[in-house]
Formats: sequence, C-alpha cells, structure tokens
Amino acid sequence: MSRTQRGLKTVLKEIARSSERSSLFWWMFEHHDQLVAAAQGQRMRWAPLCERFSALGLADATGKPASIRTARETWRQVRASVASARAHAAAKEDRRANGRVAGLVNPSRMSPNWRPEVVPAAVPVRPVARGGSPAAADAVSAQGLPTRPPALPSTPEEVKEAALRDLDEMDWHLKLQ
Amino acid sequence: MLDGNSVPHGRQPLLWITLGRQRVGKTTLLSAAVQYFRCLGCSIEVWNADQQNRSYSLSTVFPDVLDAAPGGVEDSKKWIEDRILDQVGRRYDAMLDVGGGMTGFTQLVGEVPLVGELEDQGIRVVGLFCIGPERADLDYLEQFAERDCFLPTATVVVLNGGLVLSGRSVKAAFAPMLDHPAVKAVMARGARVIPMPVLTCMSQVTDRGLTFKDAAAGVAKPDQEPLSFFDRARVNRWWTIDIPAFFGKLPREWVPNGVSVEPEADCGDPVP
Repeated sequence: MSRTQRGLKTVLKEIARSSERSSLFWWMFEHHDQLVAAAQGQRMRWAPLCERFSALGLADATGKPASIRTARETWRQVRASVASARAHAAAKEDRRANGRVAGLVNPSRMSPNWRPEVVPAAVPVRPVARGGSPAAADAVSAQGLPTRPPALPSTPEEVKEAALRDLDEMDWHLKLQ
Repeated sequence: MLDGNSVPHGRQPLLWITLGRQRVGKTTLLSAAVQYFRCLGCSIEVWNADQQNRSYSLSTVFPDVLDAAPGGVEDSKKWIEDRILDQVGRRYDAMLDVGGGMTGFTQLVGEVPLVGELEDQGIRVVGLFCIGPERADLDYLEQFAERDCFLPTATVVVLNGGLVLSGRSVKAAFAPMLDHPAVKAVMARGARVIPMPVLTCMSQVTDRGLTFKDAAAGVAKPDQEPLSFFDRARVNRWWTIDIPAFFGKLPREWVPNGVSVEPEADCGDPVP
C-alpha cells in the first residue's frame, strides 16, 4: 500500500463520524467506490435500492427504512464527504512530500489560495444507537459498519478535565515562547 | 427565498453570538471564527452591533459586515431583530457581535425567549461567553444563568488565555473559574468550556486591522509596517495549528460546515 493510500485510509478513519448520521450513510460511505463502479455512470435506481437497504437493516437517521428521497440525499452527502476526505488526504500528502514540519509553512511561502486545515470535530457518543439497544449497536459494528466517532467530553466532569488539560498544554506552550 | 448563502439542505442555520463584558476578546474571537470558516468555504453573514468598539471592530477586517447604525439601545435591538428575521427567511449562517455592557441584545433577550423562539424557527443559536480570569468576567454568564434568559443548549465558555498577565500560569488563573457555580451550572446543561489559544502579539494584528492570514504573510496596509518575522511566525503557528484545533473542539453540529458540500448542480442522481 502506497503512502498516499495509507494517508487516505487514515483520513477516512479520522473523519468525525457523527452519531447523528444514519447507518445508511456510513454503509454508503464505506462502500462508496464499489457503488460508483457498479453504477457505471448511470442513474441510481433508488426504488429497488431502498428495498435492498431495508433488507440489510440500513436505516435513515430516525431508524426508519430510507425513502427514495432520503436515500438520494444521503448519497449526495456521502459523495461530498468522500470528495472532501480525499482532497484533505491529498493536501496532507503534498505537505509531507514537501518536507514541511508539523504542518507549519513559512509565512513567506504561503500561497494566496491557502486555506486552513479542517480539524474534524468529534461529537459526543450516545450510549445506544437511536432506537436500538447496546447489543444492537454492537451488532451493527460486527457487520462491518463504521465504528463510533472519537468522543468529545460530554459530562461536566469530563468537560472540566478537558479544559484543565488544555490549560496545562497552553502553559507549556507559553513557557516555550 | 433561498439564495447562494443558504446553508446546505438538511442542516440548521447557525447564529453565533459572542457575549461577555468589554475587553474580553469577543470581537477577536468572532473575527477569527469568520476568517476561519470562510477560509473553509462557508458563507457567513457578519453582523456588527457593537457601538462602543471603534478602533477594532469586525468592520475593520471584513468589508461586507452589516453594521448597526449609530443609535440607542432600542435602535440596536430593532436592528438585531431585523437581521434575525432576515436570517429566518433566507436560512443562512450568521455571526453577531453584540458588544459589551447594556446592549440592544441584552434588552431583546430580556423581553423575548430568543433561544426558544429561534429553535422553533429552525435556527441553532450558539452562545459563546468570553471570559478572562477575573471574577467579574463571569457576571454576564451568571446573570443569564440566573434569569435563564439566554442560555442555548449550544453554549461555549471561552477562557481567553490572552487576558492572563504575562508570566502567570493560565491554568492557575482559570482553575477557580471552573469551580464557580455559574460555570458548573452551564456545564451541567451541556456547555463546553474551551481555552482560546494565546497569541502574544495579538494587538500587533488587531491594531493593524489585518486578517490573520495577511498578518502571517507580512502584508501591511499603506502607512503600516508589516509584522516582524518573529511575530509573523507566531501568527502563522496560531492561525494554522492552534485555531483549527480550537474550533475542532466544538461539536460538529455547532459549527458551519459548508466545506464538504459540492455545488447543488453537481449533486443529482447520476453517479460520478
């Protein structure tokens, strides 16, 4: 596997996987390339596809079988997310190839078209998938569907601990300046 | 009526509002947010209702800011109402600088349960309370928490490390604030508490009215000296590393995310 491919894989895994996203979204996300290849540039036939999605237990964000409209919109969002992830991976690879250290670019060499990197925002992990049990959530993972996103602190105690950690880190950086 | 600034289908428009007493970094935070998310491709309307801050306001950085006309608190309140009505109708993301002290905004939230009303209209309000290490910096948060007049579910308490005196530990300065009942109360309601990264030469950038990207690149306006190369390096690090990390600590649903959305015309049924 090339570095570019590894980088892409890493980025895809790094993308914040919102628990608000549906199981259908993540299934499409994981199988994006296969879906594109299978469609061969033709229009997606959403009616029979929705029946298949339902049979696979893939649901919309409310836990219901996806309608044609929802499935079409979900696919649009998946394509946008994958395109974004690949652009991100390519940019990362470009920086690495140019030997830049820790993401820093000399100001004099900044492109006028430079844009800051997206830092994927993690989301709080809900203990149970919407409308399901913990066991059901595990089962979804066992089927190879995306795993849960990196967690943000959600309880008051976690929020406070995270803030103190950040302040510690800030002190450390300020000492270096 | 929808237009090119409308948020992607299926996402709630966001209204970011910075709050806090004067000189706690509200305008700087909002300026950084607008610059950052616009760089990522998001369309954001910028509203400046800060009548006090003349030397450094959003208008000094963004030419497309909508400014409230000079006037009293009632005028400012009416102006904010008009802006919000427009947002509800046209469904776009906006960021509002209300300024400090008694403002049209504080008057408005005293009269109307703004958060609930906007939620009913499908707008997600994100309240960013900026505080320094002084006890009085919590007055705003405390008052709003006690009166329950403006505490969105999406509340962020921003600890501005730049307000800590040089040489003092920011952790030591802010740790007591985290135990304050007002902060504990909002954390119990789901608020996030996030330190804003320190840029030691911040005033060098804001005094020049520059964007952070321009400041790092050594751009200067006529009759100005560019930043020294030391300060340019400091801005560069802050802008390219610290700020993305800072905004990355916010839940995805609370931040503009137009970056990954392709043009609608390219998103039809045909598979690429």
